[in-house]
Amino acid sequence: MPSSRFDLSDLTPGVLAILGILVLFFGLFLFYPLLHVLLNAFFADEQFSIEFFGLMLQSPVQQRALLNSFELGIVTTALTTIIALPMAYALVRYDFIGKGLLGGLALVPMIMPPFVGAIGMKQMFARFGSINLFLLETGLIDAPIDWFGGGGFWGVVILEALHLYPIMYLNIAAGLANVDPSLEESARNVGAGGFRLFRTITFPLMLPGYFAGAIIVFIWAFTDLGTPLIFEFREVVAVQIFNMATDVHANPLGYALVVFVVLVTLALFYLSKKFFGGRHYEMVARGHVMSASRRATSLETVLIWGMLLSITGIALIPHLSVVLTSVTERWFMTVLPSDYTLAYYGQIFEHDLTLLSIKNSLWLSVMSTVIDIVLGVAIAYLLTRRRFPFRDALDAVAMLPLALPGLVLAFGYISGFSGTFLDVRVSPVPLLIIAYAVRRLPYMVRAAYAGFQQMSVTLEEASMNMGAGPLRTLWKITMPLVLANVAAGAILSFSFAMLEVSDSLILAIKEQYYPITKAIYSLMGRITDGPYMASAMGMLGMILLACSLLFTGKVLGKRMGQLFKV
Amino acid sequence: MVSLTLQGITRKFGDVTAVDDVSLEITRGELFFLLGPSGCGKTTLLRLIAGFYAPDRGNILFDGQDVTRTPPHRRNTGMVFQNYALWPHMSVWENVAYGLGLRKVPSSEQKDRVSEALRMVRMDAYGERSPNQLSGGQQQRVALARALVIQPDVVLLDEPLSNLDARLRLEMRDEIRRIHDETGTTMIYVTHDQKEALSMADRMAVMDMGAVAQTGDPRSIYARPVSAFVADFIGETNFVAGRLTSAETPLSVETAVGVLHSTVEPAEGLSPGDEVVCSVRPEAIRVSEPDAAGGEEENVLDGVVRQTVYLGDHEQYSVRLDDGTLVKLVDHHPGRRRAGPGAPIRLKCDASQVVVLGKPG
Repeated sequence: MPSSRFDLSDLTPGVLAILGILVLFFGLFLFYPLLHVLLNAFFADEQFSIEFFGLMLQSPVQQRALLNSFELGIVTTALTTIIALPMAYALVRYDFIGKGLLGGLALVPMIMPPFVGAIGMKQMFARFGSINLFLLETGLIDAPIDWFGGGGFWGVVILEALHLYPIMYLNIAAGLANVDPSLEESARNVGAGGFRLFRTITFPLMLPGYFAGAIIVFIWAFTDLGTPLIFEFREVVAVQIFNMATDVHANPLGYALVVFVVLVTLALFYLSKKFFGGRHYEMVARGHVMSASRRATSLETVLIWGMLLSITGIALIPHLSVVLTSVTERWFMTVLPSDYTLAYYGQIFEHDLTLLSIKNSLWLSVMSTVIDIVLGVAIAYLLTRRRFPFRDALDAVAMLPLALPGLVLAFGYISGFSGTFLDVRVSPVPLLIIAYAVRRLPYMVRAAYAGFQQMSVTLEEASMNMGAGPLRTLWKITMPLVLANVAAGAILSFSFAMLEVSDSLILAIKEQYYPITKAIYSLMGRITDGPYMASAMGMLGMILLACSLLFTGKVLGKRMGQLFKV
Repeated sequence: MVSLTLQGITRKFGDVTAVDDVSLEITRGELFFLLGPSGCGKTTLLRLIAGFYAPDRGNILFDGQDVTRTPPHRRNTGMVFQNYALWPHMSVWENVAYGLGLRKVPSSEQKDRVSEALRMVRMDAYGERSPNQLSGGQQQRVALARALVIQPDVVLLDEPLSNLDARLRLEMRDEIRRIHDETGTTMIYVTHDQKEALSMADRMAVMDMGAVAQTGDPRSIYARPVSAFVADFIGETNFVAGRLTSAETPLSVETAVGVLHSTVEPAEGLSPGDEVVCSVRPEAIRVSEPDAAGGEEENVLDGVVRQTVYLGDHEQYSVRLDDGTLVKLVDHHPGRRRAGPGAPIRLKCDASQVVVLGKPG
């Protein structure tokens, strides 16, 4: 109920204190770094100037980087569309045997970090990798094919697309599911059919869902750091920023690049809001609603199975090759490894760098998850249970990190806190923990929010009525009832933190603080056993992530998809 | 148990005034009803008493002590929620024992009091069950036990029977009345069901649009409604519109179908010439055979029978008066049908049964 006046029980000192802490936290670790970057990009020697932007646009390297990143984003978005559109259409509009299984399987690539997949992909598709060797042996080609073309561009695009198509699929499917079949029926009724029906009715109606997905995919591909690094495709904005982050003081160009990324992100979200924000297609006409899906004929079933299995199969190749690489004793100029071993799995727990990085990551992720639990539960509680001024603003701010590239945040941290006691050159630990926490907070908030929403407020009121104060009620009644959701959110936050790439690569400067991902990256540079150990580490991470997503999916059920939408 | 005083309570939600300047006195040990249509502010008023809302204006006193600013957990009220609000992660026993634990009651005494409370609501065999394993009526009883066990100053019941089926509702009415009489606790009971209120209440307040329309015991409210709204909301009634010609008792009202007299003291200041309505309950109207005795008769209404419904112990007549007004009446001795559809009929009512009310705005 809207109220111009707040209840006595609403703005209590406790609530005010929590709000104060949240304002401080977001102010310090979300807005201040962004502002710092912004100011430094526009103010040189206390003078407003856009000189850095000029420099940025004049430098041929930066020009190429910008162009490459845009190309990466656009081509990846196009590719995911091509993959996801027929997939979503088949899964939403048809019923067939094994629909649940195939639908679930198709999501698996999303949980596999592309950064890890890239390692396997390189092994598979390198100049003298398995695929080329196989083709050479069978005599299909005479000279090895350069699969990654354009200095690795296509390698990056393919990997990103194979990783990101599930996000596109989830959003398109949601959009498609919103289209009332009766609208299509009436179009058919007036004589529109086939592709014309899709183009004039179905597509416009699902457009908001499509754009939501497309924007996430574009921004992800535009700002991904790990994959281009592994492919040594260095002329992209993300890698440029990464390089400049190490000497922010000497080279202010980094600020301009980061601001540019922020502007691109903002522009995209603004455009999507402007064009689709106010456009709710109300599906008013109820009455007799036909089921949205129909039974597929056997031919259609075969086609759908073929399509879904090949998409998932191809998407998992990089990861299968990571598995293979991780158990390889020797793999040189042969299609498959010539000898197998499990030794690397043992070695990663003995080797200094890897062991330390596993310890670091565990510690950092646990700490960031604790912060996420505290902040996420508090925010979700306030949003669902209390009325206070600027409620919508808190909601928006808590969700902001979903749209904010990790790269931008990391750069802001490095520059904004340099010279303070939080300087990453002293120890990156506090900022790494906070960076992980900020970036995964939206998942935690959404998971907890869902829990609070399911739980009737009267359960808490009954407890207060019995004489329990707000804190005791929270502890004895609310928390036990939202525990499953909080656990799901926490596990998700934890495992994403374990495999967080851009913040880890940028913030962890000294080897003693390397988290897993940075250790993998640095192992890749070692010729001998590097890739094998990196793969074993990657496997470890993937298993962790897969387990936690399984658990989360079990708890959250259908609401799982909501976690990945903007 | 306490007495309750509400002084000029007002509570707004945005532009909507949910509770509008409500003042009430509820005496110790009373089973008091807040009755009204949905949206009349009765639940808001109950939640103000429980402390879940703070009033914009006015004071709430328990036994003369101002509790307006006391948070809900320090008020010692026992609330029964409409959806019962049993905690699903606790057993029935734990649900009931929760409030005692908070009051640091020694565990042996807790045991006695929980079993006593469960016995009182006849749920003593279900202590180990989880709330999810109980039927609606059983959950309702547990909710009641949970509210009673802490020996609250006042028990607040928010439409406690609205989620039960009709038969169970009747049964639980008796149960709650019995429990009230056994414990002697002050209880405030919110409902929109006038039959619930009439059959159970010591006293009640009829609410309309956030304000109290009338306070009193069931009998006086039924017999002497102070407004057309109350007359219409409590039980069934017939309205005959007219103009007041004499404000001295007996009052006389000139209607399109003749003059009606009333010996009931009017509740509000009415003066001759005012537009009024006469409220006559269906059971207060008798059938008088046309041209039976002749001569001057008082309070006579002529019309034509539209429909009759025979129900064994009584018969309902629907009559269209000469000016088109529809009137219902009940014959409690339907040995024979007085008149069939289409037949002319003459109705009579006692001047003591006619209540003259201001015409509703």
